[in-house]
Amino acid sequence: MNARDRILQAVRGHLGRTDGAAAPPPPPVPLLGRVDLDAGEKLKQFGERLVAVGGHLHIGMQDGGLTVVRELLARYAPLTIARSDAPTVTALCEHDSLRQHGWLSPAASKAELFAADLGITAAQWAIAETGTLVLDMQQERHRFASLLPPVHIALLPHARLLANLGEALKTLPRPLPPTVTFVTGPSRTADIELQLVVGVHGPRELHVVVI
Amino acid sequence: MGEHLPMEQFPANARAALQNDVQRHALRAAANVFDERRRTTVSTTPDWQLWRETARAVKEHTLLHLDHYLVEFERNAIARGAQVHWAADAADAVRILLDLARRCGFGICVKSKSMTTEEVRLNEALEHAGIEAVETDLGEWIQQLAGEVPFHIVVPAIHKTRGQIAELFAEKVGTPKDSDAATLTAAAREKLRAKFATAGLGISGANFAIAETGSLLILENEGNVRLTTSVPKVHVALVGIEKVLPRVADLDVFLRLLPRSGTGQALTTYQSLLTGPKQKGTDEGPGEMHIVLLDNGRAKMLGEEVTRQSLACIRCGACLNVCPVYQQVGGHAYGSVYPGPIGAVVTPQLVPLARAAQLPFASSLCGACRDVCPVKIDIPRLLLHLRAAVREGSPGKPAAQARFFERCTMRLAAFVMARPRLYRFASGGARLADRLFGPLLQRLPPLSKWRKGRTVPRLAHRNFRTLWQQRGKP
Ligand code: SF4
Repeated sequence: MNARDRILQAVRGHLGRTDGAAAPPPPPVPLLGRVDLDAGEKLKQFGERLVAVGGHLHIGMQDGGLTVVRELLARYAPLTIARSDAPTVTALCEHDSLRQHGWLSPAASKAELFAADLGITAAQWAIAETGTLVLDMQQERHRFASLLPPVHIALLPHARLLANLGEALKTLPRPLPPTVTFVTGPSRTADIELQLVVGVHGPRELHVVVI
Repeated sequence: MGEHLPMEQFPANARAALQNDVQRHALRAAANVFDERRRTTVSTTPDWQLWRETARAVKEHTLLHLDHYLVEFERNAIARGAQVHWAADAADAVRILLDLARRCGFGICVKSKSMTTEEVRLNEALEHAGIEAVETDLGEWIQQLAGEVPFHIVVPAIHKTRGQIAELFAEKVGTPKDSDAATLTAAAREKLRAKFATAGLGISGANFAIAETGSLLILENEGNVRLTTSVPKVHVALVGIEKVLPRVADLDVFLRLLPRSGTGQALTTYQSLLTGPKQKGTDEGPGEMHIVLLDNGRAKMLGEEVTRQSLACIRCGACLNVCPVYQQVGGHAYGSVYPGPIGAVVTPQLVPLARAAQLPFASSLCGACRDVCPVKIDIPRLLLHLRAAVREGSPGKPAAQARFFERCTMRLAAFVMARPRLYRFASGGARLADRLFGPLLQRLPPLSKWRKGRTVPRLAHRNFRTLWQQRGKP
């Protein structure tokens, strides 16, 4: 008998179940977070939580984040910029006033991405109750641009702000994309005497621009 | 290579650890901070008890139908292109992982924190095979550089001071001797990035495996899990069979409980929800995803309700932080992969009971672990269950003899206590003996043995009955 059958047989033996026995539906998980927030309250809560974990919130609703991103790029003066292939990001990259920056292609090599100074992605959703961004790989190539550079800028459509985690889990497309990444603030560690250090393996700074 | 202390010698290990004041103070300070943060978060969460009950109910349901959910998980993971392997024991798991490492590791594997890989002693096997396995969680890397096994299941280097880590790094990494936490962390980032860029295989654990979608969910704060599961060409996750949850929706409650209990965070910085390898060559992420489902003694815990609850554990570490024994003796004294209260109940069920016979006694049964456990595991009850199992022993073993003596003593005590006059006579005798020969009696068996690690109280000169009679009834 192979390991699979041995394990399943042992499990069934100890549970007194037979091969192929069905399971009743699992117990329900009630709605656990707050839902009664309007758009303004959600944004307020999202901002508070984001700042509490060391992120920065910017409002860029008038121009798709253009002004905010222009200022941030002037501040960080990155030599190269990693970017996802989200349409909102492409629009910025192709804008006349930003074109002179060192944009990498969304399909840049790992070596280029490892060396990039700044990364720009969108975010498909966000969760107000925890200040969390939700990135869906099916909708944009976000894995490296949001992780490898020391600074991460994320463009969040205001309408995509959800109240709580349960709502976000329900909203995820099915079948699930190969990767969904939840991001709450900059990369952090407290492994040395509990001292908080940001930017250990991922970005040390996270800017969320609401568009 | 980190070696475990012999778990058979827990009392001696513990005594030695008690002499290490630096370690004790560092550990206690850190554990208290984590517990404080947990308490603060929990006290501002009005629905905490509801969440705990919901989570436990989901876990109990899943465990009671575990075969069903494992098969469902396997089917859905395969449908998404993942390769699912089954490992009945540690040797199986090591063989599967070694094969992968040889085939695609290019001589170097990056690992994100996984207690399960510690359980099967993977690092040792990889080193033996000449494959470099680099721990990439900062705390875990510190422990690897120091040649030590993790001290805590969530915070591996919780017992080390910054000064000790700075000295270690000065020797092994080349940073200045008095570097601060930020400098040390930056050095780790740089060194480990080079490893990520060259490794062919990323090895992780998983916090949850979702049956309905065949996905894995992994929580972290640093970003090393994201790197481990996205940069190398191949990703393999070693997952205990108890990690399965039925639905994506179940994550709602578990993602609320786990970070709050572990570090007091509402959510850790990152969660990666991974469903199969990349679908097109041009996508980001590993081209192959392997999932190794590990039994290694878990299935046999399913049979009884009392032992089954051990499998509900989500490895948050809250019971360690709050445990008065763990706080004093630390993680290494247990001599097992899983220390603290949860280790004291899981280890004796994973390894031969005779080897871990000391561990269920490494507790004062104060119940703090049960009170903090986010999935309401009744650890004291499990400890008592395991103590009974140790006492039962196997026939012909010294345990049976001890049991005989113990039973006689208890019978005698019951006989005396049920007879007031006899009791008065006996307690009077005991008081007299204590007053005349107390110190001597304490040095002779059987009291001398009991006295190791305990203080024998002297009997009061006048007992309660005398006082009661003197004061008169109210
Ligand atoms: S037994 Fe409970 S408190 Fe301890 S690690 Fe497991 S889930 Fe956390």
